[in-house]
Amino acid sequence: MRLIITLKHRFLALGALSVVGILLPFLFPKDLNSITTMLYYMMLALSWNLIMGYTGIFSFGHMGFALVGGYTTALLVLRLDISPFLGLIAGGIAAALVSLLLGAVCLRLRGFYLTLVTWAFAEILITVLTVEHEITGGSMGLTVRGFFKGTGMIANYYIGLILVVLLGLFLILIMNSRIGIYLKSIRDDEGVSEVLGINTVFWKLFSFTVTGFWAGIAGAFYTHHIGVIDPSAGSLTVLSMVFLMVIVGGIGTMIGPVIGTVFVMFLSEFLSGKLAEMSVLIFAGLMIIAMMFFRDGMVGAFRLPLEKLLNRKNRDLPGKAAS
Amino acid sequence: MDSLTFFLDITSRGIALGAAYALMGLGLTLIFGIMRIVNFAQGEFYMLGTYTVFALVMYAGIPFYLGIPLGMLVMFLVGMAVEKTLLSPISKGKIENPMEYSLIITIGLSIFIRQLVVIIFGPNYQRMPDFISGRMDFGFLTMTWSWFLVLVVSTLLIILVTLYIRYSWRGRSWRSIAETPDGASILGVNVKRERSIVFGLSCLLAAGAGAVLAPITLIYPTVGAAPLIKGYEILAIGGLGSIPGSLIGGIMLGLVETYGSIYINPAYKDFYGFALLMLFLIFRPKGLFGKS
Repeated sequence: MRLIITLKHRFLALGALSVVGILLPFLFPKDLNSITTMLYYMMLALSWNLIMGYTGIFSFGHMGFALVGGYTTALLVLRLDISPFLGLIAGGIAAALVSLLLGAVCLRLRGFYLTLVTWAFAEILITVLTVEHEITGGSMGLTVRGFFKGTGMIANYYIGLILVVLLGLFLILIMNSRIGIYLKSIRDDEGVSEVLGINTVFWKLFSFTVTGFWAGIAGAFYTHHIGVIDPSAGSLTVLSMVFLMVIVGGIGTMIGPVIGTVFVMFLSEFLSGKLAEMSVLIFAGLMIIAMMFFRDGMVGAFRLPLEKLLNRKNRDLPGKAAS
Repeated sequence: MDSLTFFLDITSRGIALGAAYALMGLGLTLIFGIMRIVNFAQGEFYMLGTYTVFALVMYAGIPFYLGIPLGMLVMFLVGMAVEKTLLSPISKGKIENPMEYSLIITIGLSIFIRQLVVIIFGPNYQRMPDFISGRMDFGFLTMTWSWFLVLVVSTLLIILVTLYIRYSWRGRSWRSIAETPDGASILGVNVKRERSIVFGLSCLLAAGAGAVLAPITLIYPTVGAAPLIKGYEILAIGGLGSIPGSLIGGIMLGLVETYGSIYINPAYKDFYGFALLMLFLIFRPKGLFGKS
């Protein structure tokens, strides 16, 4: 009997994770920077899951949108001295506009062609940001102040937590609505979706733009957290980490990106130090093994035993759905 | 040097560069057209080509005209091994979406290979001295021997592969697999084996490009990043699945990059390729000769 996850379950999970999130800085007071970075990656992973796991578009442009968000907020805060919170929102909006533009031009491409274009976009952006150093600070990037003066890291963490919870809430609501059905349908078979009357162009663009918005928010958040933005934040290395987190966690699931991020971050902390060189090898190997043997990630790996467990409980009541 | 001679000079260099890039594009076209997958680790095979020829020539003392083919052969075998281990689930029909699968697996593979090289050889640049030093002079045409070698080796490989695909039995079997794998299988083609061979060939070509460009580009673990992108640019410009497309695309890219760097702005060197890529994908997704 299949495991059926209802909206109630999702809200419960979100609530539980929020509580854990609130307590986390007290459990790991020395690792405040790491757990805040984890929140950054969680935002990236959750939003990439929207475009890849739920809409079926393998976007390589994700970090490009994060860069747009980061540079937008940095430039606005530096030149116009606005509040970093406004910069955060501006970063998200700017990234959304850029992704809207890019999507409008390219989304009629399918499959690998589309992936190539998103890749080209990200690389062009990185090149321009590196070359036009009078505006962008070149490869050194821009330094910018944090959200609050003097309160240190913990404020950043909670701002990040709020953003992640908001993103989670947003995703839960979206995917539970007809929009979610449209997107999943597009992911499963775009041609059939069109035949069924779904406006695939519109909804793909919608998903692309929303994903870009959140990537921009993530980028802007991280910029103010670490105080600097430079083109390397958009590198393929970082992007590959995001891929890894989503794939290992479970692509196309709500909680997959979350547990994937936590897993990879913990692993990376565990392997730092002497084993740092090996850590990259291990992550790469993990990606390969996950794709070969655990395509549904950790969520998929746990689903089967969980269903079996629940089936054993309900063996005497064949009509009762596994709750 | 007057401007015409200069122009001819850089044109010949652009063509030589383009021919080497075309090797990358050719390999990618073959696996896209025949296997319907992508290899994101193609740049790493290019890089392994540079390291292999470096090791063979500098440490084993093998002369370059033996070292380069030997290096390519080694990479052919490595490529076949990779296909048999990592990509075999596709051949066995277990994968719904081979593109996505191959993309992610080869991303992981590229990171793995790169890091392995960093651990074994260190992250620093190695220099590969010119195979033949000095310039050659055919009167109207003059370039360094290194560039000339790039041109000759690349062109030779391209011609050989093209002729092989057109006239040999195996080449025909590949073309049939590209059209219909099941049909080819019915006609007696061992599709699994041919897929391995095609993949190996693609890696051989990438390694060849790396080996022959090694004296020019230096040797370091991330040297494959740019050729990878160029390869895909050529794929998009020439048209996925088209061999003449990848040749012409390669030359186009080599020239655009060289002219752009010299006449416009060298800092934007890589940008020209990306821009071409995007323009083609947006306005002419089939590329110049693509079959889709």
